[in-house]
Amino acid sequence: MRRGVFAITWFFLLASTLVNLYAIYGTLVSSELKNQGVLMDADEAFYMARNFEYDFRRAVVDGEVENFKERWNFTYGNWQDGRCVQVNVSLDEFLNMTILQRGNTLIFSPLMTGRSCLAAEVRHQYFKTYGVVVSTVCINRSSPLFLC
Amino acid sequence: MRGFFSIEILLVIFLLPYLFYVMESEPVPVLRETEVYAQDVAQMLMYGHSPQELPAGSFAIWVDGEEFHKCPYRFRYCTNRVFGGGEHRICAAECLP
Repeated sequence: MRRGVFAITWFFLLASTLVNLYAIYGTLVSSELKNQGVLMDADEAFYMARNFEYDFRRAVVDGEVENFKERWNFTYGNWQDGRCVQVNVSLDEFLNMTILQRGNTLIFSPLMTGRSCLAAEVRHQYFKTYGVVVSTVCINRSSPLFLC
Repeated sequence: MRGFFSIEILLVIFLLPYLFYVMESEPVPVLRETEVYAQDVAQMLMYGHSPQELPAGSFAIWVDGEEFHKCPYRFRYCTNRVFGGGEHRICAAECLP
């Protein structure tokens, strides 16, 4: 083979290898970014659900149940078979029945019929989860976000 | 022979620098790191800390549009949190080196 032709062949081989490597790198990068985006959506759903639970405790302590009711779409009632079954009373009545005051703490206590609960369905992109508060929960009035 | 040689020279002069230019990619942004930082900041604020208490690290922070620790950035992540009787929007962005 003449020298020139041999060199051109090698050159094209090298060039196409580099281009292919770059294409593979691009695929890996875009896939990684996509994965990170999905994980971020999952995190967002998780934190929204936890936010519901924290906001309930804060609303009970601050007496801002009306705002809480407007902000979240949730059910309240009896905890049965891993589900929160709605009871046919107003939220104020439900809280009057379940929230007990013990010194500097508030106790979200069970109903006569069993464990009481609040649950909100939280959706973010492809993810769905639940914010759930099930009795008995001790709420510290001076710092409602911390357990007592 | 001379013809082949001149084609090779042309390729080396134009194509090779182009290949190197194409391969010179920017570092991949770690988006999740920014997101985790934004969530941590949101949790801190929810637990009653103020944005001024946050360490002036390598992140810019926004709370309801007000910017703390300004710096140039490429990717910004925002999250919403309900605390203090209202909904707040907290954003974070990793500063460019």
